[in-house]
Amino acid sequence: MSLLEVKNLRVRFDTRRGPVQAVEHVSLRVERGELVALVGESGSGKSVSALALLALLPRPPAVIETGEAWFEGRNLLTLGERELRRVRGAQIALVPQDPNTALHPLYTIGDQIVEALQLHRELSRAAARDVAAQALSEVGVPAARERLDAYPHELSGGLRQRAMIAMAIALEPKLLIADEPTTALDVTVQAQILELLTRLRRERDLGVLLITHDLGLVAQYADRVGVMYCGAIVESAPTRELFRAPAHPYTRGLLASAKSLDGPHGAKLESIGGLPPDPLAPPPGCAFAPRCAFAVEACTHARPPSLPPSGLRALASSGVEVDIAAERRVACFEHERVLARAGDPA
Amino acid sequence: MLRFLARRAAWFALTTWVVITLAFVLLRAAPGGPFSNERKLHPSVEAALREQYHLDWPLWKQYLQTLGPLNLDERGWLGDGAEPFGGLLAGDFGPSMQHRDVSVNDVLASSLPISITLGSLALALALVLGLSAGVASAHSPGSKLDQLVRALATSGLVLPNFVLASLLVLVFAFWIPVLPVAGFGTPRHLVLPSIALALPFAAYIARLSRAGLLETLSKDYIRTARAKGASRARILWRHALRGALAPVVSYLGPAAAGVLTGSLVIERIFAIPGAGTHFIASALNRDYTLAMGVTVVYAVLVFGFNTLVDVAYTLLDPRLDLEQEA
Amino acid sequence: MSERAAPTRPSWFRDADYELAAVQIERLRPESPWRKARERLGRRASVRWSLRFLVFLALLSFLAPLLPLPSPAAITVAAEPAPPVAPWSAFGDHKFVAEYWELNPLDRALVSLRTSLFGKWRTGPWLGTDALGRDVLARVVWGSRTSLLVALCAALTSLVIGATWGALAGLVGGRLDNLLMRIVDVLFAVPTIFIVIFTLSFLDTPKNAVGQAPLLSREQVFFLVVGAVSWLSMARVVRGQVLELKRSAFVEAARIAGASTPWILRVHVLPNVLGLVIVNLTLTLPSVILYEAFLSFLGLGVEPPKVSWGLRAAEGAEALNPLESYVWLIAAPAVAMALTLFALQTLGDGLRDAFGVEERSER
Repeated sequence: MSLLEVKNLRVRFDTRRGPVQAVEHVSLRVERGELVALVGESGSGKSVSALALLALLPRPPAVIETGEAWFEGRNLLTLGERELRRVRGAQIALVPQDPNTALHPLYTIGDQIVEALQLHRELSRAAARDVAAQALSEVGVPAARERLDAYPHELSGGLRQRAMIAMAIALEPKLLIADEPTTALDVTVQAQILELLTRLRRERDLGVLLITHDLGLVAQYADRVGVMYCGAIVESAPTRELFRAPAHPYTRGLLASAKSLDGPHGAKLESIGGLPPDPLAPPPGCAFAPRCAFAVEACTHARPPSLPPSGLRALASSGVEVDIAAERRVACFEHERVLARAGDPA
Repeated sequence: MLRFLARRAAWFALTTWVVITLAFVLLRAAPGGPFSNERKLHPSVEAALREQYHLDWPLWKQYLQTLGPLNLDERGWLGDGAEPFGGLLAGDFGPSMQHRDVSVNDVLASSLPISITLGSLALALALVLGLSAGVASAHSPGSKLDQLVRALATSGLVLPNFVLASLLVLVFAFWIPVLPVAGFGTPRHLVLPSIALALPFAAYIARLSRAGLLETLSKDYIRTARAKGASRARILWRHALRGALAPVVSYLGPAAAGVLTGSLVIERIFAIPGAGTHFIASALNRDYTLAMGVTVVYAVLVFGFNTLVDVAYTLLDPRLDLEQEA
Repeated sequence: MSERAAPTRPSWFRDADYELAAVQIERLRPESPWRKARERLGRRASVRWSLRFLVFLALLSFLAPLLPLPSPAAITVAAEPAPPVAPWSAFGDHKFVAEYWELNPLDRALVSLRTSLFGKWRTGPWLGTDALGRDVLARVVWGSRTSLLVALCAALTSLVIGATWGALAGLVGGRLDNLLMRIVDVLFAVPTIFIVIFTLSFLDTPKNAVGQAPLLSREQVFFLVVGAVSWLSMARVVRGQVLELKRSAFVEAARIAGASTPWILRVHVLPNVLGLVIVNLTLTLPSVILYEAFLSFLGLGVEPPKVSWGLRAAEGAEALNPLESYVWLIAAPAVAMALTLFALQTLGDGLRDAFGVEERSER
């Protein structure tokens, strides 16, 4: 059984200006020891999806319309507050986005980690401090014991993020949700943090749901990827397959713009033309259609369902290296044409 | 910390000096003198009084005498039994000009403790009432309780304190004769006055703490606490309140000054023999020494309290540094 | 280069996704900050009503001499306070006596207009009368003039002195800034109540003293003193805002683009500071009115027969005793004051929301 299985999640925000469908349709799976990445630009609904799982969205204005989130045989979305509190932190831990604002500025990091521990375990303060120090050193914080008494503002960004991760893993959760854990950090630190997450994943059989907009990270560390656009997962596949043969025009556009950064000097930078649609007035049919190079008439009439792609066999026989048995899904009427271009240069 | 205190001491000296000088100038500038309000005095009596209080000296000399620390009265130097030291810097406020057998120090000694008790009680009440109201309000924003608290807080802010006091008197002394209205003696006498004095400040603190809490509750670290599995109550009391306390603590300074000001009215309504009652009388009667005495003491109190508040403020937030204090 | 004010983000929601969505919505609908402020201001019904009430009050107050009220100064000796009588029982009578304190020419004109319009008719004691037989309704209406005038004058004084002081300190910076702010700090630490009381009693010429006419009337000094006391916080606030603007990104960008200093002042600095100043003003007006009431209670406010709300309430408070609680004497001015202050606060809050200013505690 999967560690986490999300089915048909839909989240709506009732704002002053009208309802916004933040999450249109999200279904995903995370297995033990697996790192699943949820990729998308800002506003695509990836953070909202993750937060919805732990009921961390302010309700109102957020409304979880439908969906199931199965974890250890229970549907998280139907749990009461008390039950959820037991899950939060101990079973599923969150590493929030910005370590600069996510840590309480008025308490030492030691206090904050100890609090997390004491909320779920019967530990004396001294024992909790021991565990905290150990967690800190495990995430690579030097002089862990002394650092327990440091305030967040006394630490660098990288250390703060490590402290947050320490707080998250101190209780040995089964699933870690990392919401853009490296966005607020500089590049060198980013790599370290991801290495850390990977190591923890291996050592503890931890499942990780990584939310990011950084394709580079995804390529290097994720086992499977879900690409989100306008609140829906438009394509999901094992990482290598996604990069080798994208099936959705949006994915293709993303990869093209990333690759073009390494292109020859003087070549034009690729980008996806247009803007994401107004969340208050989404277009009928496929949300990406207005910007899509492959769009046809049918795309503006109905939202394409998420289905396993066809055309992989044909692609394989044309010489492109693809795994036809890989578990993939794509939501596009024209995905075969997209796949067919897989062998082309960007 | 030492540098901070040293700087504060310098500020204190400067401020007190400004207060003394301003008070001196304003008092002396008023037409008439301390004795012009009374029934007509025989000229020789008046002259003797004026000489006794050094009112015949040139103004600069009077100023220096008031300031101290040296007693410029030649009779003192001539070993007439008078002190070589005097004036404010020596802690001597001089004799009262209206109540001629009494020194200002004595008047203050008898009335100041009463005022300070009343003021401290009121401030403590304001803090407790205001914070509880603010927390209750922020716990369930938009609920009936929240609306009630906000309505009460608003009414505390739109009515002058003597109106509120009158209301309290009407309800608790006239209609339901439960508490005494005037005078001073038992702790019961202090109940109504301190509540009346505290109400406007409680209202403002309720407002401040509610707003501060609501803002703090929307911060990211609150979400982290929730993600850790903390309960709503715990989040409110341990995480949010500490962050939201800052504006309340920094308001305590002006609140103390306000309590002092408000006590002038409250003492009059409830006939409490505190320093405030003496102050108004002394200002109107041109009792220079007494007026000066009360003013200086109040200024010192307010300044001291403000300094305490600043220290408390930095203790609250470890990110602040006393050395950076302006 | 037009600047767009940041969209109002509901404080309860901080998700970056929604933030960007809102920004995108904003991008498609450009609006000037003034128009946006006006629109936001009119959104809440309570703010709209507050504004209407205040306008109505200002009109009523200004036209007080014209209204067919009894004279606020007409004394009936040896009378006891009479409770309010409902309008339908005693709508009015013809016993109007034109007795006022010294009025300025405009008011005198209004009074003569009134007599020609209404003759000797006057309204009945709808809010009762006080111990001197004076009509409470008339005194409350006339009292509004003093209270509002004091508040306005004080606010304007604090604006003129405070805003200029703060703006100067912020703009010039350096040593001048330091000096100006040090003075503010010292004055802040001085308990102003004493200065006020000293100054006011300074003008309270003792009855025995041989006639020395003071330079300014008690009322004029009263106005000035109250204003002179409230400019300090305005100075601090304005200076803070000016400093912040000086260092802000969009001013820097404007400079890089080659904009001249007067242009930057007019287009960037002024609108932003003005918003803060207006908000501060509407929030200091209530405290000034309360202050006036406080001083009136101590006998240092306007003198009878003139009247202000504070004086009216103080007289009412003095009249309370366990035997006969003349509630209406204190209730009428208290309610008037409460409504006005509430309207001012609501308006101030609305303005604050409209201009996007944060709530700062007094410091």
